[in-house]
Amino acid sequence: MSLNEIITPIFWIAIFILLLVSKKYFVFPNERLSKKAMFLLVIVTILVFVVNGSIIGFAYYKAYNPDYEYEKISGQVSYHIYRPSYLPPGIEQNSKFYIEEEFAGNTWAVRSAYNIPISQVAISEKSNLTVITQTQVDDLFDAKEDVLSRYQGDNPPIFESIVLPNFPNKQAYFQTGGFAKVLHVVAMDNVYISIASPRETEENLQKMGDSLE
Amino acid sequence: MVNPQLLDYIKRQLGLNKPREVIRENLIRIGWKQADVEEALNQTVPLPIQQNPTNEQLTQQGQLNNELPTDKPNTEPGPRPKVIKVISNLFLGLALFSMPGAFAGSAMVLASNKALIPIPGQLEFEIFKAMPYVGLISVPGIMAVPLLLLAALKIKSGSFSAWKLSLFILILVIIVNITTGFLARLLVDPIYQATTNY
Repeated sequence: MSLNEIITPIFWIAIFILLLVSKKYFVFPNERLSKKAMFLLVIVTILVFVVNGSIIGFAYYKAYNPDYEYEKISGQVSYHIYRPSYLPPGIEQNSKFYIEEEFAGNTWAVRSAYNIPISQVAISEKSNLTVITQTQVDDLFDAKEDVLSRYQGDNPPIFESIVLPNFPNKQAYFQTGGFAKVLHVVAMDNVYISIASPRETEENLQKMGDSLE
Repeated sequence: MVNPQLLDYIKRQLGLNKPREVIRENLIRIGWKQADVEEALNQTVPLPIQQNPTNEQLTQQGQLNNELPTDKPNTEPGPRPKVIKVISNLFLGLALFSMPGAFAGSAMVLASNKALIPIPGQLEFEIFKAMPYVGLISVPGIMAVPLLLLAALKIKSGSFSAWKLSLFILILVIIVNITTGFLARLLVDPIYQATTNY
């Protein structure tokens, strides 16, 4: 228990008892508060309500109108940052766009995360995290070879070539067999995009890939 | 010089067989200075005593009992008993102790946001989205501080209405504190614990 939690009830009890036993002394005529007292009361009330109301209101606004900093990060990289226009039901973006140090051997990668609302993550334990990472690559880049060259296990992941009818691309692979399912896409402007999720369905990942813009 | 209204009142009261001690106490209680009362008492000669007051006189007595002299151009309200000042200071102390609580919810929101911001990509004030009821923590303090300050200032008057108001405020503050504390633990704690474990 904090000091406040101990002392406050003691105050309550002390004042309550004192009020009850001292009732007979309260026989003086009623007087209005002086101007000074009224001013103090008004100032304290405004301070408490305005300061708290402002902070809580600002936090509430920011929480429900998040700034994903897309424009800010777009200005820091030399390539177009792709965003999915389709998100699986119940999923929302729950991170800003941020610069990742290294991805696929390149720097200035951009990452963003998507999941069920945070209030549900904590209590339902049904996290459905999906991470989109993207970076600029060269003309000769091959996503499958890049992943395989970095893989250090006994059972290499399985790649399946797929078609994304609505998203023009040079390469599109679906990777399974590992910890997460991953959709690898290289756009026509040589932006390599990886959409990875341990729990999301293949269908939804492909829909997200197909809706990139 | 003795106030004529005071003098007239004392004479009437003495004429109605009121003991001098009772008259003295009544006047001092409502704010007359003891020195003025004593001087007036020393100057008064009781009106003739009637053995069997008539009904008219008894009615007059009842009316006159209520006509305590209120015109005190040269007097100020007498000093309040020390216990009133003690209670006023206790209310003030309680108001000051409630100040941190009034800002607790806001402080928690700001502090947790600052703690999480270094995480790459962390959205601002996401903690508020996870625990929208965190604002409840501030409610008892926000409500209590102005009310307790009002009680501290008002009770200095020493009037019975101030006593009633202060008692009401105290009970209200206690009930809101207990209720909101219970609700906050019920709504905020499970999510906070789950978030911490997550």
